[in-house]
Amino acid sequence: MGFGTIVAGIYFVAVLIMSCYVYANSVNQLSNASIQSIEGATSIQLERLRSSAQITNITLSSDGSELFVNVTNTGDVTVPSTDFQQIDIFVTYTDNSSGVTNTTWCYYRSFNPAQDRWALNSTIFPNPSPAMVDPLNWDPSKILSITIQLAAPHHVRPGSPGYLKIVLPQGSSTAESFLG
Amino acid sequence: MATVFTGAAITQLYTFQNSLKEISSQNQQVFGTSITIISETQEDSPNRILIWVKNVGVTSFALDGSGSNTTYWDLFITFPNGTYNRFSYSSGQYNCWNAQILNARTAGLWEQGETLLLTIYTERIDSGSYTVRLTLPNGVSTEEQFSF
Repeated sequence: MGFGTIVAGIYFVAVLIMSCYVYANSVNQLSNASIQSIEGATSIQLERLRSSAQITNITLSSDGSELFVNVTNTGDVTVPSTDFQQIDIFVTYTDNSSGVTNTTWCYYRSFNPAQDRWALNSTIFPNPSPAMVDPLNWDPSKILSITIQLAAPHHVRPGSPGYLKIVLPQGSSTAESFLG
Repeated sequence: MATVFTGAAITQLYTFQNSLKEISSQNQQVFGTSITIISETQEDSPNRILIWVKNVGVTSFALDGSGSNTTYWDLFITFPNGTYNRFSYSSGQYNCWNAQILNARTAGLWEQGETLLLTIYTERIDSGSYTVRLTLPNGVSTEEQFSF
């Protein structure tokens, strides 16, 4: 056996070992990444299933411009105050000025509500309540009192039916009808 | 000869490794994608259907307003008479749709928890049952049936 054959043999074994290493390493990385992805997707779905809310009270102002709503966190997921802007509120109602049925998406505003915006009801304290622990966040079983301001002059027509839908950041929702 | 063989083998190995990495990255994006339609309504002058879609996954999507990304989104609507149509993304107001992120933390990026308003311009909106289906470029889709 010549020197060249030995060198070629060494090269062959080295390539074989390297191939095995690269293959095993790649498959390992792929498996880990897939497991992490599936775990991530599962945890998102679980969090959505564990989150829920219930509208417990809706009151309309006498001029039909404002809705005062109490919502209870009936799930077991905390909604941090920093995530309030990811809560979607839809109000479907008959516009008193045009008689047309509108669906309005309302955006969160951390202070007094403006037109087609919602905010925490500033006349209620603490809010969310009770606030013995974690006062800023909407924890399970806490009640969030909110005010929804509709854009002028598109107020709710007196005596007409309305529909309020609240969607949590995780995608679960609650809805309730009301009377103008 | 052995050197040439070794070089070729190593090159192929790294190509293989890169392919696996790419597959892994694509899988991560697909598994992390989840969107859901949370509300819809109609308006007239011009006739349009408004759809609100929430990103409830961890994957973010660029929506820079130029349409470069949304060109690869598929939006289908089945109408009450049974016909269906694929609408194209466009800034116009005729048989097309456009989108706006309503509560964006980062401009032009549709991130987790954020809501996208799709405005679909259509010739007419009859009473009856509609089905809308939105499919993202990675194949993840959401579908909703509603009526006007």
